[in-house]
Amino acid sequence: MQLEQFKYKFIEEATKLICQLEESLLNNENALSDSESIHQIFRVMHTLKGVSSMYGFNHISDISHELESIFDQVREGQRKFTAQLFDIILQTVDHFRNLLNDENLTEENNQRNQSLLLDSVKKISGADIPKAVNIDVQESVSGFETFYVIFRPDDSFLNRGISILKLFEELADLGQYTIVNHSFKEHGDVTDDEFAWGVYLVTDRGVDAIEDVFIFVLENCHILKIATGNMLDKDEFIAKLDRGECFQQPSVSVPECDDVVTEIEPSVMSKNEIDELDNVIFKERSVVENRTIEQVGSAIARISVDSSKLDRLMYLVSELVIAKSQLLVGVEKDNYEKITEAAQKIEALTQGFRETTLNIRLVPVAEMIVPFKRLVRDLSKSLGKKVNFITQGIDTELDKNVIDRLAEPVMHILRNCVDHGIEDPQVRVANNKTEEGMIKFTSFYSGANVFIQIQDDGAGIDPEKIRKKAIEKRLISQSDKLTENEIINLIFLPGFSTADSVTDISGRGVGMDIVRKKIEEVRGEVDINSEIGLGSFFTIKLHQTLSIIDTLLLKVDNLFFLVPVSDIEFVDQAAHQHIYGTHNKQVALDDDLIPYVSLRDLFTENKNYPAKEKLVVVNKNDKRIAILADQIIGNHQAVLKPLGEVFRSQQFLSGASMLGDGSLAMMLDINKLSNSSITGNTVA
Amino acid sequence: MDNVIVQQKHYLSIELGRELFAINVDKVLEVLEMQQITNVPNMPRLVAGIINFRGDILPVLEARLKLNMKERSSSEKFVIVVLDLNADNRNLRIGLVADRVTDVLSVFDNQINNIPEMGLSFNADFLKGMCKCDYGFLHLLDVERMFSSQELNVIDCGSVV
Repeated sequence: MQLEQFKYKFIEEATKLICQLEESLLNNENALSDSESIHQIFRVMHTLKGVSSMYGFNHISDISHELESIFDQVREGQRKFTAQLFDIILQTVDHFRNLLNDENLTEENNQRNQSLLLDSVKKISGADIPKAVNIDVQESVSGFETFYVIFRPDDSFLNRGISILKLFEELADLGQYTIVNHSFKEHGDVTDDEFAWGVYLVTDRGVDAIEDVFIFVLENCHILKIATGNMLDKDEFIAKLDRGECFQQPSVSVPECDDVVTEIEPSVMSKNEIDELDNVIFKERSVVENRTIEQVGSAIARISVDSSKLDRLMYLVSELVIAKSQLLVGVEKDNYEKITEAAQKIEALTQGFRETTLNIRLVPVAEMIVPFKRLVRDLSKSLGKKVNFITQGIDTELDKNVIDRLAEPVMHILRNCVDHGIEDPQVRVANNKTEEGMIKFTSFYSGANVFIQIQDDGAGIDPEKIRKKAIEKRLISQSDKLTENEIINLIFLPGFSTADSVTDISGRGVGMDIVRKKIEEVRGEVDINSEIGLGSFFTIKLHQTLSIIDTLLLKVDNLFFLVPVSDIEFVDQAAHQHIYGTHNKQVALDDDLIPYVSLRDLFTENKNYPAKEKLVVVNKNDKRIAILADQIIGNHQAVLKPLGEVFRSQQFLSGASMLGDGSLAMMLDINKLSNSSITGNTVA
Repeated sequence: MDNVIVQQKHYLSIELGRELFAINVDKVLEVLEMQQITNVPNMPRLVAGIINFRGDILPVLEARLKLNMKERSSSEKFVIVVLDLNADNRNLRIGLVADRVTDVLSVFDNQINNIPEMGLSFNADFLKGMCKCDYGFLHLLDVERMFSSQELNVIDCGSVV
């Protein structure tokens, strides 16, 4: 179906357009009048308006139609690009993204957002830049309005015990006012019957509130709206009043102030409506964010690749074809030499393929930054905090898989920084800090690793608070002695949360341990440093390539295990008696007493120990441990696969890999092994 | 009677012990021949181990044990039914060890009856219903429920390390 094909292409390109728009918006938020952004918005809306209805996305077309006219006015200078408009555009971006996944508008949230958003933009675009004032007693729209109330009490007031003073007190609650004589006669003296009070009232509570004040005496007053905005703020208006030039009409009709009321702001969407829209879209934020995370993944379901990498791949393929032919000829002719030669060539080529293909999968970190920027911006706005989000080194490249899986933990860390790290602007100023907080996202290479650092200059983490909480949650005991750094890193333990109330955003206590888990799933490590009052510092250490790891294959009983070569210091063997002879779980090697863990003990019930145990000494984070196995089989290039949900309780196994004969070997998690109590402890 | 179109679905029937069970074909990805299952240490007996399936690790569970039936003897032949589950927003693939698969049949929704209150020799929590077919009574399995997050949690708690 050709149309289907094109539709997917459209969705892809529309998504790309929207993402680009979002990125440039976030970059230019502080320079709204920058014409390039305005033109870009106009172009995007124009394109979407035209093309989306072709593919059945009429809802997108409807909204973009209105936005296109609005931004046409903006770029012609007829309309100001206000902060409200900016918010609307961002909300539109989110909404369009959702719509592109929900073509037939089946989801309730989308339906709701669609009508809200459409109404709002229609309202904005529908408001002409007015020359004249419409004097109807309109539906109360918030925002200040100036009313003129003609109030003429009569005799019945005395009988009914209505206090005029009280009325005016209530009126004062509504806003500022000024009272003039309103006479019903054009000239000359007025009799009692012919005068009334004229109250110019400025209020943002709308005509209903005024009617409430006069509720018992409605027949004695006329309430007229004369302008949107605060006329009493305008000097010319006051001047006219002073001269007594307005409202001398005898009839209760339009006062003559049209010419004063020249500059009326176009009917802005009421603050309430924007907030409501915000709330609606904000409440769906978790949905939007989840989508956003998926989008970080799906947005780079395509990656741009350097063509030189592809050229190299082509070269390797052609060489492989030749080697293959060689192999087949050798097999046919039973020529062992030829077969060996071909096998060696294939081995070298496989290496080349591995390097090149892994290289192709490398994607710059910059690709996942935009959702982060958005998160920080939106979150800080809703919390009333000011945050500057800086990035550095985002052209550092990481395997696409790693990037996809890092998005969630990094989002969580950022959430924490904005929510708990950065203080309110007043608090910051009171502590001699700049009003605006800073969150810095840095990325760089070091050796075979890629580091990502997230730093904030907020309140920092209070080790005392953590310690108390940890003792409360029985994660440590009162008498445990830990360094400050160790205490702070306790927040990575499951069930830990020091937020006093579980906020929507973070602090549910499932946060940091999942963050660590997800990072470890991509074979990374995460560490926190913090200083009270100065801020916190998250460091994530990653391997550049994820999937293929050089390992050593071990055999225990009938099970196979893998240890990453990069962690291994040396291997040795020792008599079983010698090792198990001592009381503590340590073995003397290399002039050192090294704690050991026996794979046989850990993973089998079988006590058939070999006479000679093989030892693999690994070093992780400066901690050495010895792993005991029956046999060291050899090197294995492992294509590591995760074990999956069913095995999530397995702490010491981090994945599995298929061996040449089809059986599976399990990868040991060296980190967990060295930290666990199953391994002997080092002498303090 | 109103014009209700009765839905018809296809089910894969599998044999466990002497009983017949049915799984909605939509949930079945593949049926694999008996093969070497790599044991994962320190897991409850319910978890037979892992195999390599289309490049990924597939956990394999003993259906009989999940349903609290008598365990299969290790000398018997078996098959592995690969299920593709999509409940609660996760994409979970699980292999289920069965004695054999018998047939793919279509069952109309109105042929499905409720399960009897008692008299079953296995755990009825995971059944969606029963229906009669040529071979006997088919018990319809609710595999989404069998392997929901909660159920897998129970497996978690059952493991030793």
